Amino acid sequence: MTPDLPQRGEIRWALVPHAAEAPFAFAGVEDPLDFAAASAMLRTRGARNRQDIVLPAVIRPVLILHGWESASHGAYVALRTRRLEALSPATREAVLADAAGGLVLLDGASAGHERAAMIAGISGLHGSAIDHAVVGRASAKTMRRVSERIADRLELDLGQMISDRVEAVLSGLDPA
Amino acid sequence: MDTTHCTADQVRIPRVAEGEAVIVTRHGKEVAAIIAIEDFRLLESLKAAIAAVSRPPRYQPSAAEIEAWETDDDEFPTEEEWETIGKRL
Repeated sequence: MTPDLPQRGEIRWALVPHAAEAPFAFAGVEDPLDFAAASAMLRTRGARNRQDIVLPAVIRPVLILHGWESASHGAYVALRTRRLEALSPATREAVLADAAGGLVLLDGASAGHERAAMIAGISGLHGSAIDHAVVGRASAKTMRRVSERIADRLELDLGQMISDRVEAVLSGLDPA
Repeated sequence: MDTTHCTADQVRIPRVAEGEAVIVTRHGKEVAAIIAIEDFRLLESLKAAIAAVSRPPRYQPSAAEIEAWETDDDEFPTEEEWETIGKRL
């Protein structure tokens, strides 16, 4: 494993799409593209589902959710983070008390600030958009909390998986 | 668990106390277990508990989460941070 490849729990600066509203732009087209406009344009230009469409982006520290063994895959899933100092005192307090739902406090200093992971801020990032330097690292305990909150936030139905795993563990236990 | 009820005079079963089980074999293979009703209830409760904790609750974003989304953070690296990040290997 190459040491500088992003790993689960690391906090690194990354180039992240920033799409607050109607974000897409295309050369020669004045208005921002929405899906209808883009699909109409693609249809007009022939059956080619690939165009160079520009999207605003910012650099931000992100929390890496997983690392890949192979650099050739190149795609990582990460969460946006938010500095606590950029939040209101009430929200800061809620984050510190672990009562802020989709904002999970990242333990330890991360990128020089107290920081929370934004559970709904999931981004798919190409490896080249992620900086080499690790500026923070979330503990295993925090990553477990992040995993729980992602399951809640995305309303993942894990019932069958948990049931199957419990049964597998129980069936491996010696009844004696 | 789907259950079928019948009376004790309809089937012949051995007596089992709570915490005990009688394993029934057919052609040398274990096919069923007879357990006390208390243990059966416990088993059902465990299955219901697993199902309950596994079911995703309807998600309601907290006020804190909404605030974090709606306020834009213009975070930008400091001069000191630029010393660490953005270096080509």
